[in-house]
Amino acid sequence: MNSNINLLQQKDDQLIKKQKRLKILKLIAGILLATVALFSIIIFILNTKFSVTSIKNEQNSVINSISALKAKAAKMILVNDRIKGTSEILKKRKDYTSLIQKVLNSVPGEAKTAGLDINKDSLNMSVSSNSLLSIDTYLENMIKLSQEKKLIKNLVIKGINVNFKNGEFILSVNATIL
Amino acid sequence: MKKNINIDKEVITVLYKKNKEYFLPLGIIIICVALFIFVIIPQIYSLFDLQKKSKQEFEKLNVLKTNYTNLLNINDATLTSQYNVTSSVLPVGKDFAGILNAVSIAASKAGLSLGAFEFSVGDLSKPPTSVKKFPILELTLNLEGDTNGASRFIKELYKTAPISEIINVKTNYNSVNATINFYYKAIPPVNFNEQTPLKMLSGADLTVLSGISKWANTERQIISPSASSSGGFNANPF
Repeated sequence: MNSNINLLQQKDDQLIKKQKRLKILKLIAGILLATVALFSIIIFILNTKFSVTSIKNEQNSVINSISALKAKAAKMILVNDRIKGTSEILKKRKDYTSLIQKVLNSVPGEAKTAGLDINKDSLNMSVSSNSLLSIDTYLENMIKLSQEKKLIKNLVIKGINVNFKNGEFILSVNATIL
Repeated sequence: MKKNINIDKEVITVLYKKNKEYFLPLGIIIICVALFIFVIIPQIYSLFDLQKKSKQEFEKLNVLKTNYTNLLNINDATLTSQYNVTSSVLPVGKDFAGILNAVSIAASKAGLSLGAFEFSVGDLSKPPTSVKKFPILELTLNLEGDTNGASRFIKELYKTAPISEIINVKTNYNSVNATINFYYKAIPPVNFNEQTPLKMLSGADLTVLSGISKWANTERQIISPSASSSGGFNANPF
């Protein structure tokens, strides 16, 4: 008979191993259970926190308050619309006052403006004088104005007429408005 | 050699009895993993969506609150006055009376006497909204005065309501002939949506408003476009 065989001891080892395995399994199960519970609680809290219902209720309440002020809102929209339109027109409309003043200033004392025709693109002007010298001064002033290229450009002499009855010279010029 | 394994009821009972302690923790682990995969993870994803939606709704709420506060803070009398000024400068319809007033004010300030004038009204059957962005009323008028007077007239007219633009000026010794476009603009459809931010007057807008408030002819009573000949639309949006 072999006395080295110890069946009892082997059984104890197996039992200890089994108990250890069971302990680990129980621990894992416990941790997982706790994790699931924790996540569920966190999700519940966050769901409550991000609830859209309360925000929607508040929105409805503000919308109700605004409905009483709709007339004001409409007026505000119209004021904005009128101002926007006015600004657009003000930006694009041409102001001829400075141009008229400049061309009138270029007419010397002895000469007078016989006619002026201004439209969107061009300026036609006739100046009359008994003196050719003042006609020349006017022409020089207009050339200077044209060379500045601020108000007009492309100055063209359309013609110079003489009225033999009163000895008056009439100079007609044309320029492109900038 | 293929070994035959015979699993009968007795074997299963023995195996169950031998391993029954494992069943509960293993079951818990399986259920927890399943819960995590099929419930918790989708819930986390939906939480992100919910957060996004909540953020959007919160932004909408903020816009609503801002609109409400802004509307509450606007002084109704000031707003009405601003509306009257802006509507005299850019009328809602063909404001003949306003135009004649403007022309006579500008002529008088420029020291010119008003002569004959002619309106080019256009097709009266078309409502202003269908014409173009800025419909116009063209006026051709004659004034007695010189070129300096014409310059003064333009200067004054440009500071008088309704807003206008000189298209053509002809002067001949002592007569001035001018073609002027007077602008107007029909009332646009007012669709106020509480959830879109209400545009308040900006600094630039206030500058324009302050400029046009000083214009002549802005204090007159606003002519209702329904009373004018511009077609059948309701001008009163309030």
